[in-house]
Amino acid sequence: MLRLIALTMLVFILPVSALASQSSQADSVEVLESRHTPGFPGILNVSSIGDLLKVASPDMRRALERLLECGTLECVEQDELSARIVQSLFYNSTGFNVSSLNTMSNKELLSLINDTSIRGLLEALNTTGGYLSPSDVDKLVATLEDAYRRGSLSPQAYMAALEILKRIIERTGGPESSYVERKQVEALRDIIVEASRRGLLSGLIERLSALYRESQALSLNSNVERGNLEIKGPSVRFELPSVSSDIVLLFLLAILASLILFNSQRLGALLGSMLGSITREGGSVGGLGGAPLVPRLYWSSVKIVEGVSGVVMGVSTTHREYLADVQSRLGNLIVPFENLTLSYELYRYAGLRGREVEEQALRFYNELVELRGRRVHDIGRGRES
Amino acid sequence: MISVVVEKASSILVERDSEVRLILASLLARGHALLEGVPGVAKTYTAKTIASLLNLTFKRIQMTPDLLPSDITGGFVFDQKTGEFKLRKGPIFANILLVDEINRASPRTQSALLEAMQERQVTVEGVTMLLEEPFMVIATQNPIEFEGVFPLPEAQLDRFIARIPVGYPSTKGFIEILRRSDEIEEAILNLKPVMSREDVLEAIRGASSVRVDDSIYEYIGRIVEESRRHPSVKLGGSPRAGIAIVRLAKAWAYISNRSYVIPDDVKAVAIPALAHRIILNPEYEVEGVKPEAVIKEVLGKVPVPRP
Repeated sequence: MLRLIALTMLVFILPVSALASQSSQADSVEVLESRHTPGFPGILNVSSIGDLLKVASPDMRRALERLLECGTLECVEQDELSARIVQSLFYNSTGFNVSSLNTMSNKELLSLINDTSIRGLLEALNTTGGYLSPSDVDKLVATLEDAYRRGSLSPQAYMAALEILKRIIERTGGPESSYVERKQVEALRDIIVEASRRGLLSGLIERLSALYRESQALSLNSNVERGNLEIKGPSVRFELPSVSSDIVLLFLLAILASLILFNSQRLGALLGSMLGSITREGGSVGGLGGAPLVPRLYWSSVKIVEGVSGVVMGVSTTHREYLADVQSRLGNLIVPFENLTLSYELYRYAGLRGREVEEQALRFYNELVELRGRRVHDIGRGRES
Repeated sequence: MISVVVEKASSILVERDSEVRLILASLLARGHALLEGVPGVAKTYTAKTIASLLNLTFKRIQMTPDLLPSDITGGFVFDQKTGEFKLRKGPIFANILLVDEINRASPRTQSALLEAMQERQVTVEGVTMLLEEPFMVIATQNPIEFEGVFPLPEAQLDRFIARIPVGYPSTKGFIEILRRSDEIEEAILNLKPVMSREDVLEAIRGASSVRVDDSIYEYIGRIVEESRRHPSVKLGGSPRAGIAIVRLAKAWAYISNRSYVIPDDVKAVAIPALAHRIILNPEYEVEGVKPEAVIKEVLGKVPVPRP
């Protein structure tokens, strides 16, 4: 019965979301692309911010556009609404308040850096305080970026490391602090894009709507306080803005998406168990096409673990390195993932084949999916209560 | 059995686990190891501990500028009793030869040694003698000194399958050394072998039969090629460098009780196997770029086999 409901929902959602993405891509590119900094328009393709822009107030639109155009942190901070949007997005996706970066001491920033070698390096640089040449800065930034991409630096640790580097450069009179700042902004953008990809859209829409309401209320209050509320004629007449049917449709789609994503945890658990049964019946997993079953199961589990731990597996990261990276973040999911990693290793490099290996890997995979479903369910219940 | 050697050595030597494993991997890969580090970081102790744990003949040469090739290889001496010339074998006729401060010997003596390392045979006055298997040279050198030393040329460095940097211990390790220094010396003196010569030969055969997936060969190939393409590199890894990585990775896997190589093994041995074989462009060298950092960067760039 549950499977039937889920399939019905899928059948309904897929065409609707395809329509929404087509429409939003076409319109958003036309409206906004020319104003974006290079590399940034991707954000419009991966979320419905474009849709939201259409139904948003002029204030909200301006704030979002400012955020998209911005090249430095100060630029974002100058506009209070933009700054709040960036901060809330960053906070939603990492649990870290980006605005505290400026006020934190170097010691506090260093304590945020989870990679000991990078922390040691920055600590040493901070203590010696020597001049950093542009090529030194390049190399340091490349090292930090590499560690961040490989997942050995968390987003907040990366931001903190860049902040320390910026301070060292500013203190020693180096010329490259704007370059480091640009990297900070790029990281923010990546995190926002990633957050949109990871299904934080509902939170985003809710947050933006709340900000919009707050900003409207603020402007109304300030007008009342300043005595600027103009009332023309004998009575105040409220009018709804004229909207086309397309915009109404997009707005409804945004609400639908928000509702679906709000319930995505339960849906995820349901789909997870369905996926497990599809796999048992020999179907495909994770879009890995013609790859053999054990690698397919492993790479699908990596996707799950990436979602749960927030650590993305880099191209040069080995399966064992990745296991070590996520070990402390997985809770009880670590046991099936560890077993599945070993199964993959034996299949991939020891040449171990056979039905037994496949069945074992499948068992570990299903266990992982089940535990993840339970975990998501528990989080959902925690929120509800 | 080999893991017992690692365990025993690591229990005596403080924070030398990685060095011990790399020396053993070099032995199992039928190569020679060069330990590089400042004086007083237990290079000689590490080599001696390993030799003592393996029931193999062990000899040590302290290199000096006036040492002659015949001091290493040996020579024919006249026996007055029999009236014949008899071969007096030099210290090179051992299973494990510790060559302390190799860069203190003259180039002539160095090349005599390095030739024996490569050919695994010694020619004394026209008589060629094969060296007994296993044969391994563990050389040490101090990278800091410039006076009274003859740095090994790149072609000769290439003879070593691995260059193993031996650094300072951590503060915690250092305090442990201070606390246990007498105990460590005594423990090394009283070490009993845990592997016989036959066991070592068996382990060498075992290491060479470790499985290497085709994707691992491709991975190693890409690492070596990428080391040649790196902008700061004048001369990158050669095919011999690639072979060294394969052999060391197999031995590393064997020491880790595995019968197959995984990308982690390749990563573990890539720096010791490659760093001493690449030559940097002078402008980068002046800037303080180190070959180890270049290889690290290469490893961070080359994708591991997928899916």
